[in-house]
Amino acid sequence: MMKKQFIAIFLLLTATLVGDSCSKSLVDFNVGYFRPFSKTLRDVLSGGVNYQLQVTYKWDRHFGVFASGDYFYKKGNSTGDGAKTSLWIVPFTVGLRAFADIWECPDRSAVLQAYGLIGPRWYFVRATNSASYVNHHNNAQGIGGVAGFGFDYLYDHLTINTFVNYSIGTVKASSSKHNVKAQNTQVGGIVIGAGLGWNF
Amino acid sequence: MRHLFYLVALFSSYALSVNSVDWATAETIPPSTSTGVSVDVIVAPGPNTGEVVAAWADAGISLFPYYSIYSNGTWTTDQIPQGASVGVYDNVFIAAGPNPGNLTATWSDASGEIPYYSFFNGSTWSANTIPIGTSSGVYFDVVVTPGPSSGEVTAVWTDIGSKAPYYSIFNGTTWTTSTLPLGTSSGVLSNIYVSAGPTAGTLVATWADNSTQAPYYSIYSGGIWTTAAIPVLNSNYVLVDIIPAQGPTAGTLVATWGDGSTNAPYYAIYSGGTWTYAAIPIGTSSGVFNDIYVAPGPNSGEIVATWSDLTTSVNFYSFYSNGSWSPGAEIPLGTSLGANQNVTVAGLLNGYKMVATWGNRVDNSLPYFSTLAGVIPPSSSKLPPTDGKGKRVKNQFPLVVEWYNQLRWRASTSTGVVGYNIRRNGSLIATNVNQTSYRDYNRPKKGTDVYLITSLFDDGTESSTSLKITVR
Repeated sequence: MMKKQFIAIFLLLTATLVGDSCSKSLVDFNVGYFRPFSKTLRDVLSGGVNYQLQVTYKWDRHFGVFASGDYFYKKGNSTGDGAKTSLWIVPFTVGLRAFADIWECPDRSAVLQAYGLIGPRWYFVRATNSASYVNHHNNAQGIGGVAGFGFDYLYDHLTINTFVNYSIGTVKASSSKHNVKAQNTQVGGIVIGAGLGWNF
Repeated sequence: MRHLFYLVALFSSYALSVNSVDWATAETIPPSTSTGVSVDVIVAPGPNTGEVVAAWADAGISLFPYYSIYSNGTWTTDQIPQGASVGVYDNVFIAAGPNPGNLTATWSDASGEIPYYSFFNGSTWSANTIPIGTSSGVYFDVVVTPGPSSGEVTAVWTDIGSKAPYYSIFNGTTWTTSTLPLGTSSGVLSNIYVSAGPTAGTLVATWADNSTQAPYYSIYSGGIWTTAAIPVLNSNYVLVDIIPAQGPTAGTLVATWGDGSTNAPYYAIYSGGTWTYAAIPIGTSSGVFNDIYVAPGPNSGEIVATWSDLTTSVNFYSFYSNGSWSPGAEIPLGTSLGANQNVTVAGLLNGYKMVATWGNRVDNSLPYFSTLAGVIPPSSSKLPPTDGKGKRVKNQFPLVVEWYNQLRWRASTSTGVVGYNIRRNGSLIATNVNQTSYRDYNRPKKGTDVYLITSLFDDGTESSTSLKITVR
């Protein structure tokens, strides 16, 4: 299912390679709502706010590479006795980003672009548990990927961005406590958000 | 109209009082793989609240020991693991203890009079020999009872050579064996019996003298046995055995026996250091076939005695209340033909019922039981909590998962309860829990855990019975 989503987004990217842009670099700060794919995470934490800083370098009017770092932190309660717990998900991503102009002012002072992106993602995940019968901290890392699309409204150097990102990635922590089982946990999900950026 | 109301109330009161000494029609105890009962079915208070446990030797060639626990109106029967023992010589005796939720079964080995025990720690049985010390072996049975102290059971037997009485105290790990002083007695005629003594931390043992068949008793207190004869005049001598039990009121004892001359049922009550004795009204019984078993009744001031009739083998009982015995009357036998040898009796630990058990009077006989219903539990006992519930709960964290057992119970109705002790599969896991719920974390996802919950009292004692909660 996830593979199909990536393929669809990549096709969207290649199909919309029209338009123009003069800027070489773009820095975006995005804020979105993250809904985990994992029912476990939804049961324990539900969704929450995801922050993202993304830098894009364009080598062409339509293509660029990007690097981004995300930050998600949420407090929750275990499903049994409601013990306090919290989770950090900090993924780092690099990838390709493709742009297509879909509207522009006649004087080119404002441009509306559609874009798509895809790339591999490395996750660092840390859980902190208040209960004594599980480890106080569980750390894990893993590899996954992200794909997304959005719209940039460029006015002079300022960019207003809306986006949807799909990400996947599985991590597995370890446990030193008897009869406590570490699980493969899907830490990907969908992020819907918006942000501000600056064109150089 | 008002007179009619009083009449109905009077009739209802009379009906209830009659029901309080009515025995239910006998039914069989499901024998499981047992082919029947060799001699007697020995019944005793069970390991948990409201339970009794019965034990017998299989009637088949195996002579394997069996036990059955009566809980919530249902018997559950299984074989007692017997270790290297080849089987039971005569009877299997069984007692709750040493600790709440435990059982200890004892017998003499069929091959060589070696005393054996099998210990149930709440989840598994383990069997071995009881160290015999200077004893040369067991004459007939190895009788076991809880005590003298909490966390102990005591077994007694008659030495096969000298007829001297022996006892051994088991603390759950080791047995400590020694001789029991005979006093003026020349030895034990048949079996020596033992039960809880007149006060906490004491025991009483009784036997018929080997030469005169006079009744003897010995009280264990502070590590010392004190032996003397039970003074009797009208009863010439004891037929076979003399059975002791805690008496009708605190600090008293009762002992019962069949008269060696007339087979009439007799009893003696020990109070304030002296014994008084008399005959039990025989009713329609022709006399005692072998022994009279006796147990404290369901309420303070009550005792129940049971025996098999001398000529018909029909089961009889007599109920002691308000200082006097009811005339011997029959226990409804149902399909049973009567007792093989003896009818043993015990109370459910919460005092709601008495249970009598026996082996049917035919070869390879089935175990039978009857209950005495309709009585009120004593309120002064140190009772465990009730209405236990347990379930296994999945406790999901973001990256790990564990399972815990959630236990809940209703508080003990006894006064002076300061908390609860919790044992899992025989091991103490929590003490002085001052709530009526408990979570036992980090349990396996699958498997069975058996919990025993006892009340802890302000004098430091623990209820001798426990609430059992099984979580699967």
